[in-house]
Amino acid sequence: MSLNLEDVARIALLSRIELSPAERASTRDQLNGILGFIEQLQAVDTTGIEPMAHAVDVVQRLRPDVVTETDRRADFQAVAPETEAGLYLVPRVVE
Amino acid sequence: MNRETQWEVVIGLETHAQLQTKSKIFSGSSIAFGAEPNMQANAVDIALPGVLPVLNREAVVCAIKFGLAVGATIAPRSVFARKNYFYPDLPKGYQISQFEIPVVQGGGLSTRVGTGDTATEKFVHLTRAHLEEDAGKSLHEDFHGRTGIDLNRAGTPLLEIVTEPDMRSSAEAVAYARALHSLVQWIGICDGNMQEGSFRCDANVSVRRPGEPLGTRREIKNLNSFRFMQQAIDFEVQWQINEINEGRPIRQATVLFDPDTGETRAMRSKEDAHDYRYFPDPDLLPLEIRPEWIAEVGAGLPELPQAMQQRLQSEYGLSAYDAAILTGSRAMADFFSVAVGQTGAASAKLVANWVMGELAARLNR
Amino acid sequence: MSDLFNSSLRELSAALAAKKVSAVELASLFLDRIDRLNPGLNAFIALDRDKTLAQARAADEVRKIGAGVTAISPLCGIPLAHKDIFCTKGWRTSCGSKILENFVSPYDAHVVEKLAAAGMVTLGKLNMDEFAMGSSNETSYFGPVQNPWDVSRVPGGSSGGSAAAIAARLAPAATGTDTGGSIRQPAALCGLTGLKPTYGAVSRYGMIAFASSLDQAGPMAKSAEDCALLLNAMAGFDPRDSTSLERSTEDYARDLEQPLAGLRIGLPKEFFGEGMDADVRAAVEAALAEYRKLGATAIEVALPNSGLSVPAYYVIAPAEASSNLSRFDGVRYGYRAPEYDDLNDMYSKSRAQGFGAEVKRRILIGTYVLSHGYYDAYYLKAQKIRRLIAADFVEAFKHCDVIMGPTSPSVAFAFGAKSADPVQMYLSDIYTISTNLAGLPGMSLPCGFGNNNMPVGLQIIGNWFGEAKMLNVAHQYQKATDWHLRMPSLAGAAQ
Repeated sequence: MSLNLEDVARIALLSRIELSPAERASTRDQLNGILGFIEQLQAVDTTGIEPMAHAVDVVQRLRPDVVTETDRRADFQAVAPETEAGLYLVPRVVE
Repeated sequence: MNRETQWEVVIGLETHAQLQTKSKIFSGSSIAFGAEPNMQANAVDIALPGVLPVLNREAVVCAIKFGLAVGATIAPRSVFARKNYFYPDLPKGYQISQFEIPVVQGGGLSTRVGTGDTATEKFVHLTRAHLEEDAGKSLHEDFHGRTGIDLNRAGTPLLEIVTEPDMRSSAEAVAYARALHSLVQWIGICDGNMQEGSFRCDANVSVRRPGEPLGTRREIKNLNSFRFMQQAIDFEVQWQINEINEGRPIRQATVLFDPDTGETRAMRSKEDAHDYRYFPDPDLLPLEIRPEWIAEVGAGLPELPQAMQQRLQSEYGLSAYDAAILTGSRAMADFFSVAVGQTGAASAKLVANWVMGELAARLNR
Repeated sequence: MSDLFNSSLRELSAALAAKKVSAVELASLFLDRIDRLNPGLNAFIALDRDKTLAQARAADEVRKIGAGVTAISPLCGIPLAHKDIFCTKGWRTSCGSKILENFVSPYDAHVVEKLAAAGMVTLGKLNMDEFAMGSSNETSYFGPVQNPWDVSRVPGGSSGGSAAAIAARLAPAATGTDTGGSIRQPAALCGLTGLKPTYGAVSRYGMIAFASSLDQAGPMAKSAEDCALLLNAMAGFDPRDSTSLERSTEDYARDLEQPLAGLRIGLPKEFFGEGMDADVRAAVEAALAEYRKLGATAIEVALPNSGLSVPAYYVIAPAEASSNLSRFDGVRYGYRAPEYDDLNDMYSKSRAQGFGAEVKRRILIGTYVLSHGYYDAYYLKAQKIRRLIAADFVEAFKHCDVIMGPTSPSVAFAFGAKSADPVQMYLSDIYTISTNLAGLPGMSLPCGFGNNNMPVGLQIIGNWFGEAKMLNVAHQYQKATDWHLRMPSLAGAAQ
């Protein structure tokens, strides 16, 4: 599997990472180098093997339904790029 | 020949029911409605670096109750997955949901379409119901042309209930939505408040000529009243038929219903090709639900509307229609039960008529 | 007092208990060393003398008032430094990235909380590869860290700041995190002892996520005994982390003094094949000879799928990272591009300008392997191979108590030697990655010197929850040898 420039542009859009046209070409080459390395996985027969998503074989622990939090808006918004009236501001979203 | 009779309408509904817990699905923040912006958004809800989700037990109890109420399979092991996309009301850049293995699988809901003697029975099959977190809210009011983000709602527990494409008219869709709305309140998992967004429906609508494969669907988002649902589906159906008749193929899209114009229109923000890159959330382990837990939750469920309808017919000789009306809401059913307990079974029909007529009319005033 | 900068944690604890030194004096001693030596090493990227000394004064108070009243942790008053991946309330927590350059954390990570509760004093925050993605510390936005043994060489990564700080005796101990070798490899390259616990032993709450199913925090210090003491304070159940394991508290130092007679050491033939430099091999072989003298026997074991661990890791880790790093979007905290057209442009520019090249590469790879049409071929495939790799270890541990091998295929390399070719860099972690995939504990301890007099690390891999055994095995070796006591000349000359 080898990526072309359009693939790179699509992945960059999904990732929300701007790439200049020049970066796109070098990124393509680097990603193809890594994908070429990863490609060796395809040769392994994994028929009937259960995928392993977690490092430990335990089940989800459940939290009691209790409100434990108090308002810390001022602390949290102290590090925010742009706020007003307690809201985080972003460029206008058009629905 | 009426052009419309050539067309079959196919509707599937996805409903987001906000679960009646005290705290959020993955954090200890309150989910009470109406707080000042971002005052009920803790470190987990605003996705500070390093924070982690822990599942609220009560949200799972709600899912089990629902599964039992619709005769579904409750998965002994289900998996939380990340749905990845960027949006300012989605702080982590992904929504924690369930994808390949949902907690509730199958089941269905019997509904009555129409009124009086002409009413017909319709059984709507459910595909699944899964647990997920709600997103925050975007406020487009005047912030110098910018959008304000309130994350109080982010992380509110939702049960997303998905039907098969079983409904063939807006009337059937509304009948199903009403029955579901009544059921989730009946079993006490959702307050059903549609104005506050506790119960929201998305309708997947397509049209086809009978016998043909399913047409391309468009999804009408965020229908927050039954009346709008009916109007939106009716408009959408007519629009799709017109488009096809004009030779324009339907393209899959997400649309919004504008109550002021009565029209649906495609959402601009959803134009990007979506690729949600679902994968199992490594921060959450598989959810295990043992049979003993299901039995325990089942023992606490009230008599369900279906069972009660049967009982009202056999015990009091009420008609199927009357029984359905009386079990239309938990409050009405409870009122009837108490009243008939006072007056005796002999006057059940009288009490039923009074509850459905006089009382209902006064309550509606 | 003058030699305290090179003391073990037990010695420091004894000195504090005997009032030979105060926590404030100790903290000042290290802060002064940092002032002198850090400019040439770049190990610390955040310092706050007032905060540090306030914490030290509090520790002195606890030792004074608490004596005889409450149980005082042996670590009370001992300074340490945190890898900048741990959220530390009131401290800039950057994760080595421009995107968090101005992020002052409003909360403490569980590990930070626990060590502070034990009375440990925070000296500052340590440099690291950006978002822990790197094996040389060259990806940090704040510049590379120099290896105190030879400042023209890398300290390893991603916990390179932690390793360099301890090696230069700027801190007696530090926290680290290990996703594919990020504690063990820099420990090896800087001549230290570092331990990655079993996945789930230490809470990940407040540790900025790289690859959630692989990340694990652990101690870095000069000796196994120091690591045991630190792990006692770091480990333990945390209800805020769903993957934190509910186990009864254990004393990781309990078996340190057990003799090694009868110990079965598994040597995976895959770890001793080609790819390991001759100087590393010689030091590791010598260490194994030492273990035989201590009564251990070596058995060959097989980890037939371990060769697949690096490619499987470079699917799984970027996939998880691509999602974990989506929260850095310039909306609620972190860097926001100064100029943009609309919302998507703001996202794309903020992330393009805020993340470094390696981080972006991994996000893109991760996005790709999860994307429609490729998920099964890459992500699911890698998850299946992950199970095969874990199963190999289950089989191997039927025949041995611990597994040993090299930590890194080479000693510390020169700056720039591997940074041009990502895959070459990825292969620096060839011996460490499989334990993360399996969730096993692993550690590295110094076992000699290789070319150019650079330290070599011996890796010990334990069975699941076998930390106490690993520490025992390492401690007995350190009682018989003195590699762990060696110090770079730069550290000694500073006195």
